[in-house]
Amino acid sequence: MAEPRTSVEPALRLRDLTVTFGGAHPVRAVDGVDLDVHPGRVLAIVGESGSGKSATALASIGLLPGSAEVTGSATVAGVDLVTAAESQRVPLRGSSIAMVFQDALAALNPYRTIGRQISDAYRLHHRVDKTAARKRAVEVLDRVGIRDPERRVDDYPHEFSGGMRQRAMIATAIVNNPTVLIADEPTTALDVTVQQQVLDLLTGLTDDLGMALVLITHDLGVVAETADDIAVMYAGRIVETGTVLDVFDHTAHPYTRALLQATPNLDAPSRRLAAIPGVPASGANRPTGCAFHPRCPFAEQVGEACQTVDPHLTPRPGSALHRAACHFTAEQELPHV
Amino acid sequence: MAWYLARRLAASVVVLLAISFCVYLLFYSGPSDPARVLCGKPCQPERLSQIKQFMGTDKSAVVQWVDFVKGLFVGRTYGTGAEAARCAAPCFGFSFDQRQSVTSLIWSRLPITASIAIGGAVVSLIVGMTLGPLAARFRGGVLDGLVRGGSLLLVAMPAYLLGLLAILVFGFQLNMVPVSGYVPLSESPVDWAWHLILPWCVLGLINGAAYARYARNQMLDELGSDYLLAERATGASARRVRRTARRSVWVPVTTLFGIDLALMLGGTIFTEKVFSMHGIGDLLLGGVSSHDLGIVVGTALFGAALIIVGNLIVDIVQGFIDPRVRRG
Repeated sequence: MAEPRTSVEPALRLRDLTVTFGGAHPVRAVDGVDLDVHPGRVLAIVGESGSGKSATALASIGLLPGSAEVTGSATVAGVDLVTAAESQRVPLRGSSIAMVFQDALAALNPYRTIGRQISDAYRLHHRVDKTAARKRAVEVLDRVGIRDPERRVDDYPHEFSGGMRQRAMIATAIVNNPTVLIADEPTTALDVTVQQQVLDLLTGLTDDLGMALVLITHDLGVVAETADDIAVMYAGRIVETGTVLDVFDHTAHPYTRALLQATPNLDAPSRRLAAIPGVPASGANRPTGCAFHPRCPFAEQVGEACQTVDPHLTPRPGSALHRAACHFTAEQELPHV
Repeated sequence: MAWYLARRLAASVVVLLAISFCVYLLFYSGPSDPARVLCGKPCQPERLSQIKQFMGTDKSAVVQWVDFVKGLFVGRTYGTGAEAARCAAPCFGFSFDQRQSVTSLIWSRLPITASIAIGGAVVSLIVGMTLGPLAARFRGGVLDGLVRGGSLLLVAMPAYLLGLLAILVFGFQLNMVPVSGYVPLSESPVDWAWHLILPWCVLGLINGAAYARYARNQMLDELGSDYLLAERATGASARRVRRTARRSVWVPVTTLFGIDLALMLGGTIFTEKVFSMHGIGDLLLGGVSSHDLGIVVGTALFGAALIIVGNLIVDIVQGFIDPRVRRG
């Protein structure tokens, strides 16, 4: 894992990104998210269902439905995808920022061959004829580890296995060498044995192509093995962020720790997995003060502040990049249990 | 694909034989005896058995069916000697009333029915595939409301009612088009089309309304699917994505279309009646009212055969549209 390259311009920069789903009862799915993703690095966005991680991803690529109101900025290649006109966003999608979806079977067009889908994606951004695009498709399929790509290029998605489909979708995403790749739960639908191969492929591509990879997951085991940086989301906000080493070794937010304790670990002595009490908060039923306080074991020790005052992300002592939003740990480490 | 086709074809032949058996049994076990009808009143028993022998209805039902199926493939001869009537293959039966094979009767009426059916089918396809996706695109808007309301009305409306209304308005009130009769295409293509325009629109609107509903719903389902979101993520414009979505709309529409076209080719009974055109529907209707069982069985089977062939073609076309079908 490389050191953070803060001096380099981030490939994707989110500032105060806020997503509200309208209607009679507006729901704030993402609430003021700031993130930088640097070339060649893997950022994992972690959280429970409804924490806003997928909405953050879709807002970053400008693909939220019209019913969603997006404010703030998501800057890729110098263009803010939140405010830019659709005609400006279209050419950036696929070429500068691309996306891999969770369920490859649903996300690949069942009516078209794999090769057609990859070469179509390529031809959207390159003026080449079909033969050249097909050659490129074979090349990319080979790169993502499809055996015998020359032959498989003419297969339909239903003729591929689950792992191969996910590889094929990664191929459509990277065919134009994007600077940012967003992978939304890319391994959730896969067998455990295949999961690792797909993660290795993604990290390998990140290194080779110098992409910035945003890995959206709820699996901290995946984070530990693949990510450089991590952002933990709860109820639409980032509650802790930093390098994976910092966040895992010096966990500053009680929610992060609860997630870690709920993750099985083969290396550690066997213990009961700790469930997080209560129900996850979401944009629709956000508690006052710190959104996590109804479920937080430290809220009583801190007292009223947790229920009334919204904690901000504050840098941790010794590391400016490791920040957490917690009243209890504002000046100290989380006690070991 | 070849294997898929072979299996479908074999299945079609089996189904066709089974249907022919059912149709045959059903009609010949009915209360109306064609021999008695032909014999007239008064009818001597010797004369009746003669006629039965001539028609071949003196044999058991199964043997009659075997004769019929054989006739389909090699043709058959009714009676012997000077009276004998030859029915060439494919023999769909014989009308003893008109002393003509049902095949030649159908053949003489087919141009009229085919003109109505094919034209109506083309109109229905244009209506459905234009309005459906458009309504989906402007979901919740005025056009969508019009398409949904109008299509519901049209789907619920019988062809003869819409036909009569059309005649009343465009024929009599506005005096724009002829209200009845058929002019062969070979005689005058303009008059041919001019006489057919009302039936085309009637059938086209009624069937097209159903296609529009299916197309709209399929389009909406499809537009919410992951693969189109993924296509947008590769940099495809919204317009291009809609074009991709339209392909899947053909799946439900071709299914309906194939069956509808086959149904119409087998005889558009109401439409032909309303517009006074003597196609296969008219032939069937005449056969029923004159107790001419040969015509009834023959046209019914012809219609059934068309539906099976239509289904087969639909399956083949769907195999091209959706590669997943080929495995099924």
